[in-house]
Amino acid sequence: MTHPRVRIEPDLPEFLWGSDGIDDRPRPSSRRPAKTRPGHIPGEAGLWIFILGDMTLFAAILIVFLWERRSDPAVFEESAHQLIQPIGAVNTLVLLLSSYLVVCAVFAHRGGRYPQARRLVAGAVGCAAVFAGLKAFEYYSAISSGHTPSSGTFFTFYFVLTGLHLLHVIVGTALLLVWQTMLKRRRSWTGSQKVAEGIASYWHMVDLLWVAIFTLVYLVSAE
Amino acid sequence: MLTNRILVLCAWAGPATVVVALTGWLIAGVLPIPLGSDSSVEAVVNFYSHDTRVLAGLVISTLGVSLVFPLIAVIAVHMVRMEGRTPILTFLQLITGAATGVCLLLPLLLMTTIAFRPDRSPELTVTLNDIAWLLFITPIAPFMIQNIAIGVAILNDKHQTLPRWVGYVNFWIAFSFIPDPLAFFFHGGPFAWRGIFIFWLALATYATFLIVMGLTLRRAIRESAEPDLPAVAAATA
Amino acid sequence: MNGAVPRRVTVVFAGLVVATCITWWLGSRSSATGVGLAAALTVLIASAKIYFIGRDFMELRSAPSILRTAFTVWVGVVAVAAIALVAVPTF
Repeated sequence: MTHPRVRIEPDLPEFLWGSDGIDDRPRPSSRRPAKTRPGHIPGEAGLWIFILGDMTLFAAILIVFLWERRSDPAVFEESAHQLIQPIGAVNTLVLLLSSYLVVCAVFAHRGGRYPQARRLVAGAVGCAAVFAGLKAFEYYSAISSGHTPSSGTFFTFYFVLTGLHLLHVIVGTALLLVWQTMLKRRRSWTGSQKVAEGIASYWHMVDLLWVAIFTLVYLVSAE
Repeated sequence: MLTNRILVLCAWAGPATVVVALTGWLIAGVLPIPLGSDSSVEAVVNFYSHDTRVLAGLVISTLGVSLVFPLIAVIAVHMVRMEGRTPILTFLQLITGAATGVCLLLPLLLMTTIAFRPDRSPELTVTLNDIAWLLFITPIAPFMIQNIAIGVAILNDKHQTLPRWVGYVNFWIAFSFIPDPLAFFFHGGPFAWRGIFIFWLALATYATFLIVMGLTLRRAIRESAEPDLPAVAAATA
Repeated sequence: MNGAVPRRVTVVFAGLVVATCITWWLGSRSSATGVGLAAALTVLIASAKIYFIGRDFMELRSAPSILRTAFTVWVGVVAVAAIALVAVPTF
């Protein structure tokens, strides 16, 4: 009796079997039945668990920040005035622009206009670089004025929030570059839709989080 | 099949870790409110002076956290199926997973040792307590690498061995550990070792990891168990 | 799908820029009176910005209603909590 191309040798670990780990066992077919839902999930469903979870984490830190502010609003106000508000505002505009470019890039990729999409993604990456540069300058200026993460509650939260956000910007930029590689190879929209939309959604989350941070840490605290 | 039963047991070890370890901590008094970096010397000495209860509870918790090892093994078995001939992420998960087990075990054993002689000099007790807690809270790298390896493997898996949302959850869990080294810099507040964004967040997300992995693996094992029997039976016929 | 960016998205972007400038202006006025009000207004505008980023940039308006609802609820809850913590005077 001939059997499938893979010789199943139950004594050997699976990765030493004949073929390249391609599982010839019949897969349970309808483990996740395709639900026909109206509406299209940008990226994929699992990604939104991450995005909403990440947003919730930031929200929790921001809420605690506001709570701590209530016990000493005057100190918070004074500390907030040490920040260079224009840099925060410019950074907000820069990220909004980068988000807009990303939306345009998604549409360009969808329409098969690869050179335009590449330019737009490059533009978004450029905005990210500007953001990072301004942030580096901000950090340098804060630290050289003697404000460190241990200079009181306000600056602790400032550095933690903006630091975590900066990490997200870096990850997001790396993802944008991944998308850029896909565009260079002119991968069709049908093959790349989930990944491109996922990367775009992640980037919009980065933008959205900064709006929240700028509003509460830079503006509201200083009022 | 015995192998399948062992796989299922290992998967259950995930949620079991949470139950046993938390029970141990409740008995020892580590929960609901653990000692903090801003606890007074008297509070620390007083905690360890209830030695029998603390010893019993901590011993139970060390048994509890050791249950992560079977879970790591069953995760690895499934990651091999995802990766194929060069299971680098599987190996990464195995190595870092083993490291996380040790990182959980040693600090708790240290705490148990503190309770061994409650009449120590208070300075020594506080110092040992500091070491135990900081060793427990701060080593984020093995945990993060483990979670990221699992996440990447799941998202690159062509066979949908595990549902894709589990990969994303692993990324989120890895991210939740990032603030933990801040425990070195703060003696009080939300970023100290007892702080809400350090101890409580990491506890919640790591427990989520253990339970989510355990339950989704159990389901994956069950679903792949049925088709296996006819295939093996036919091959050996 | 010809892939052109709908005008709606560009309008939203322009609106976001304007909203940012408004909140920046609100934040730079230091007024002793009505402090709580200015702060609450700033948070409200920012929440609207976040909602629109989700709706139009993240394309949630064409997403299944459960996802849209989850996002809207999130924005609503966080906005209310923030406004409460910011505008309600400390006792």
